Amino acid sequence: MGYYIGLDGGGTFTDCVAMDSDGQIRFAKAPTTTENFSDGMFDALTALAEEWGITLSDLITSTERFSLGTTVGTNLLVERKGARTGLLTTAGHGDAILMMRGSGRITGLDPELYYHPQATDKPEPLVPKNLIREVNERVDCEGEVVVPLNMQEVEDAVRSLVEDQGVEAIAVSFLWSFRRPDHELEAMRIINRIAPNVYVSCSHKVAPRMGEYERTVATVINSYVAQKTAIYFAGAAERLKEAGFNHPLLVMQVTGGILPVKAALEVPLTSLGSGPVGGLMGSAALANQLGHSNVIATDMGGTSFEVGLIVDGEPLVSDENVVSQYRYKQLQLQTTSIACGGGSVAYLAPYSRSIRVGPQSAGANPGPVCYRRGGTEPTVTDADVVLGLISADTFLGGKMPLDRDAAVRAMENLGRQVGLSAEEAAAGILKINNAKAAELIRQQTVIRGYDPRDFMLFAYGGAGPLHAFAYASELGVKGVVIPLGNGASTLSAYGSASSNLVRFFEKEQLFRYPFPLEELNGLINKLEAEAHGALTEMGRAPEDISLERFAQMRYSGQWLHSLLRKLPGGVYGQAEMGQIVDEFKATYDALYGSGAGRVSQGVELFSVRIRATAYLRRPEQAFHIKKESRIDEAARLGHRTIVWPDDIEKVSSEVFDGRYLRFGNRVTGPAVVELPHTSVAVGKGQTLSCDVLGNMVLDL
Amino acid sequence: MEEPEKLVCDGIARGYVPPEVLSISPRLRLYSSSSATEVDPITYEVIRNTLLNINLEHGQTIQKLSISPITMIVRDFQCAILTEVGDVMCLGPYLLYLGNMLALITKWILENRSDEPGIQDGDVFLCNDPYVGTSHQQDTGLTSPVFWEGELFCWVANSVHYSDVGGPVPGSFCLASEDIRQDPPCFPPMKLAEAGKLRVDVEQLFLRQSRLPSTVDMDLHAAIAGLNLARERIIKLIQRYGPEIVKAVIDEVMDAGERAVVEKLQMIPDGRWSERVYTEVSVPGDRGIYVSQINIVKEGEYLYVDNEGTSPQVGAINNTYAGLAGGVLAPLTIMLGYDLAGTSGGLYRRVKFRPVFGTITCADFPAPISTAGVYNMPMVVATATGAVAKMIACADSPLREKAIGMADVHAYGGWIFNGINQHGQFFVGMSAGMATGALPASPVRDGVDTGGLFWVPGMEASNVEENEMAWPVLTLYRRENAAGAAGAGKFRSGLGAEEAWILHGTEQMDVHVYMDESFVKNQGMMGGNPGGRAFFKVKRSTDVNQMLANGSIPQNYDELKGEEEKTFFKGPPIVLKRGDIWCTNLPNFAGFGDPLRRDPELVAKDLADGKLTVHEAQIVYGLVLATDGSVDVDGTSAYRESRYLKRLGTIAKSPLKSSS
Amino acid sequence: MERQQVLIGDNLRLARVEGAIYFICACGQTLGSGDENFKDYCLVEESATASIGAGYKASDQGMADQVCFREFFCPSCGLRQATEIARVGDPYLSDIQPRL
Ligand SMILES: [Zn+2]
Repeated sequence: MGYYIGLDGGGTFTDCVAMDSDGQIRFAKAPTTTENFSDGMFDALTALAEEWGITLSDLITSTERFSLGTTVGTNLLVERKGARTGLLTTAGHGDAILMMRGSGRITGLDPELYYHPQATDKPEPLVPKNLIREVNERVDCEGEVVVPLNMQEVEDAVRSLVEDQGVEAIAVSFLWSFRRPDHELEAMRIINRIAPNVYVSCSHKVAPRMGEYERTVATVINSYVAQKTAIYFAGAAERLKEAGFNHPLLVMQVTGGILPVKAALEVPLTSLGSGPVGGLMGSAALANQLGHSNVIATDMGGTSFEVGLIVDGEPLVSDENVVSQYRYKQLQLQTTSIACGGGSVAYLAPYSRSIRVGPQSAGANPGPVCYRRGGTEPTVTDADVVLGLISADTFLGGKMPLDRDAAVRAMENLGRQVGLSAEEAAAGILKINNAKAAELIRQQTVIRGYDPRDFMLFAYGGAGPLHAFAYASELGVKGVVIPLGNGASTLSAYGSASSNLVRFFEKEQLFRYPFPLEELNGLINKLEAEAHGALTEMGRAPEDISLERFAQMRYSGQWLHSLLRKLPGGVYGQAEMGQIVDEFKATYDALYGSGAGRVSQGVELFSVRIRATAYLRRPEQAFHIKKESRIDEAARLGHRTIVWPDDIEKVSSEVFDGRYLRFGNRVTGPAVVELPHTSVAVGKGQTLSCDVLGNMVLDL
Repeated sequence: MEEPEKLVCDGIARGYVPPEVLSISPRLRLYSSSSATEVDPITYEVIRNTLLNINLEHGQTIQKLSISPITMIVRDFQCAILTEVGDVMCLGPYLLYLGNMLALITKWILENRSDEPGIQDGDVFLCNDPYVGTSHQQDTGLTSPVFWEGELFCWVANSVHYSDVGGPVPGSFCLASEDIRQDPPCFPPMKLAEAGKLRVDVEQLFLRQSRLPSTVDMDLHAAIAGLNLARERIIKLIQRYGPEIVKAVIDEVMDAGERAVVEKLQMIPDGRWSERVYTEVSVPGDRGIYVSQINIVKEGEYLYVDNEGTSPQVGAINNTYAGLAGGVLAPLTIMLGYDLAGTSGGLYRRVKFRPVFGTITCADFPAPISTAGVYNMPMVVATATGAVAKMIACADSPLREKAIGMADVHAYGGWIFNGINQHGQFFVGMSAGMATGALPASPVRDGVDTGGLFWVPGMEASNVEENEMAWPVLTLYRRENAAGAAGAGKFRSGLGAEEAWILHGTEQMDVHVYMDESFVKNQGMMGGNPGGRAFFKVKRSTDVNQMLANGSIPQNYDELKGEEEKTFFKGPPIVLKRGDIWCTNLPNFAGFGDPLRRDPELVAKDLADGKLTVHEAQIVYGLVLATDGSVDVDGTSAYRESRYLKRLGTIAKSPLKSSS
Repeated sequence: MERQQVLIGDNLRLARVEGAIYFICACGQTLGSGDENFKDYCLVEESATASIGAGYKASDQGMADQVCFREFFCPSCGLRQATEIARVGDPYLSDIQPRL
């Protein structure tokens, strides 16, 4: 028997999933150990082996593939625990990363804070001024050298950074290096020669995009997290090897693919924040098997609500990310998040006698009032408890009894101030929270020209399955899937287990319509050859490799807007070019109104992107074949009075233990299905059924 | 010609000032709420949040789809949702002074167009007339009614800076204009779209004036796309919750905002606060100095604002009533309405204007207005900021902590230039020297270095690479200013930035607008130093190209060999040529309090960060260092004491006095 | 609630002293009564704006000479209570007049 394991670590829990050669899957989790990650990882693997009824050693030695997703890089950054990093940049431009384009004070913050300057500040610098060195070199916008690189200055700067300042890593970011990387490459050679132990990354490699600020940030973060990320991966690989695993460890990437550690470490930044991406990839893999081509993937946890879209079977890709108010350019699967989750705090809005929810969160500490950790402000989770959607006794499988009375008192206190009962206030909090979630989804779909009614909504994360019944029905989606049912909280791990090898090869180069075809075809050829070569180098057979072409297009002058267009294969002539441009214009008008794009304004194609995928073979996930219409008595936990938020009416609702629900079982709302790490609420008139893959499907 | 005292504020002879109750044709049916409608607190919050998001989406659409950097990067635009009678319900985190202007345009339309040609569902009105309600002709407003079952429910509106709207000068800033007929044309409100259909004749009329019709066309359609989106979403909201409920929420948002402001007004003692800012040169060649003054009287729960003390209107340095009101409301939005998330309508109700007309900050027709965007508007905002900040600094805690010193007076826009770029295309460039911004000092903390301009909250500086792609220039350096005397204080201003440029990919380029102040215009706060002087320096025939060829990029304008061009504030157009180097800046802004009262450790931190020289630490801040480089605490105290004594010993009492 | 005093920034206040209202420096020095301009009770130094520091000097001296930099010092402790950029000869701006 062979196993295919996916593991997601770095959050509160280390989650893992294994599929065997027969396509059966099992999940397990264990608390993350921050001191030594591998300990928690092996705790989780031990639990996983128990699920299969085998020894840890048997599990590891018979594992065929092991892929790992992690938030370690994000943690390093947020906690400022990365390497002491120096920055080498073009003379005259060392302040760019400090000036943050004048918008670092508010980047990524709630727009309400924009009007309140005294409540905002810039973040701590990633690289302090004394670790920034400028050298003489200059390239212009056409990629022509204006001033050659002064190698002596590079050497002096590196010596000063390494010997005087003790930097462990260096980021090299020169102006226009994405047009001509020679100077950055030369600087890297010099650094490697005189300081071979210092980690170096170059901006043309990490983020080859126009805009020196965002490119520099990406490169600095990359250098900042690189070594510790490498140690983390090496530690995991080493422990696995000792335990008898003899394949390369694979690492989840924000691009939605996995890569061997060696390739992943070429740009460690692409492993940063692969957690949410794992959830999205897990959704995509399940959706693919279920035949859903359009999915809204929603992850509601304690503090945030993340949304990603899968359109025509493909997760959408974005170019930008924000961490700690630093914005950078990077290709990654698009996820958008707002502060909206179980821990979001409800409070009295000053002056208007109404209730607001968030963006402040009680987090895990003190947490909701009902957690008994000293929290005094009612949260969304408290509202769930007051209404009865969460049972105070069976929360987290009964491991953490909640203080319902305290939650009720806090809710009464809030409600009194606006003339509402505790239950009315609690119902209101859910409505507001759900409306915010629905609003984010609406923005992510409708504004991009997608109709939510064409989508299935996947709900996971600690608070997603409990609230989806409401936020999903706001949008009129086709239905809701609680992916993997019982395994919904391990979806990220499932995602890394089910991903393929993916690499992007991209070049930003401006082509104005009419495109110089020879140049464009040449660029595509070159990138495709590079892509193909890289995957064959990883040992993939040519027949397993697929290449797809994309282009970013815009109207001339639109720096903040572009449409990503999938391009046809083959060599382009006049006819293909005309078609590409016509389709761009048609899409633009469909999105922004007929005539929004002006014919007089030129069209530009400014970046060519090749996605190279090597499909990995894995067993088909086993279908549950035997349909059970009768619900196992073990699943029936009796009835509980729940106040459903829509009509604030007390209804006796049946409660189920989700672990005992089987394919074919059907639960009619109002009901709650409890799972060890979350619960699924089934509203009145809704039904929940279990499908062939172990997902729970909520019909609205 | 009529006598000035007979002028009415009709938006024709003099800036439009709407009456308390508008005169609207009975042909137009307004949706009015029944005051009895009760909205539960939950629905209220859901709808409020959705309305704010609709307006943000409106703004983001403009930002994404427009192509002039001034709009998409610098956020020189605004969008708003207004009530059926044109009161601002909420505005976006963009150029704040434009918010009230959208109200003025809309109210004027209600009073003057509701009968003929009438206001219909699907109309979009275009207006760039400063006497009706724009800051200058380039900031063209679009406003569109939202109807529900035949009744006017509310309005959605935006104002966008269009790169060139005609007139004698590329970019449409007409520095030499002495009459509005030498300015770009003014269009009082006219229908750009009628009953949902774009009027190509009106569109063509507007575009025909421009040197950049294609760019303006894209931006105009970005603005239309924003309006359409906002209008459709509001209709959906009404469909879902019913018009009574949505209307009741809009009314309540305004009332709640008003209550919030009243509560803050109660924390401020009654009194009068003023600020005075000087400007210079009314048209090129003039040597005059002119005054902008704002006075705020706080009486009970209202603010009364006037501009008494301001110079009579003159030359090309004027703005209309719209500019005065908008410029005053901008800093009030930040210092009194900071917790309203842009729902500023309630604040506006508590501010009463008593303008002195015929002045440079409230000019009568036919004073030219086109340059106001770079000269008058920031000046009015700055003057108002000074007065508001002093008032807020007298308030009870915690309100007093929200005071912010004066920011930019004239550098806004930096410089405006045109030519043929490296791609062979004609272009008009507007480099936002201000875009990196700086947060001025406050009574409780330092400002924030390159922390953005607070009255354009969402503003952003372009990347150097974006500039070099669009214009035939090369930036030699762009760096934060030093923390010297400029903006010094017990709490210092955030630092601005400086940039040095050369031509690249072209032989010459014309600069029509540039800011080289003859003297600093910024005022310090409560004993703090004023901010720095905005400059535009040019050196001719330098050896810059030789230096580049030798492998070295000049890093200090002042050390470069060449002939210093004598520049003037509003000097004649400058033709930049190969071999010239020019340097622009956004100075530091206002400091707060006596610099000798600054915590020595904060001075030492700036020293350690390389933001201050040892010499300036001593001269400006009275800091004394020990031999090991640490702060000599006792030495600093003693030295500062000697500085106080020196002030007492050497200064004779001045014979000048304030006016009665 | 009756206001007993108004704090103006952190080194000046408006307060009642034996029934009358005065501006008072942090050092205790009175700077005129509440309906006067406290600047009239300060030591005033007037200098060229170029003297403020580096970067303040412009090429157009003729224009710069029309304005000056004013510093208002407490006559007792030497603290700088206010500054003004002003046209030479213009009266001091009476800019802070809270009432008790
Ligand atoms: Zn004193």
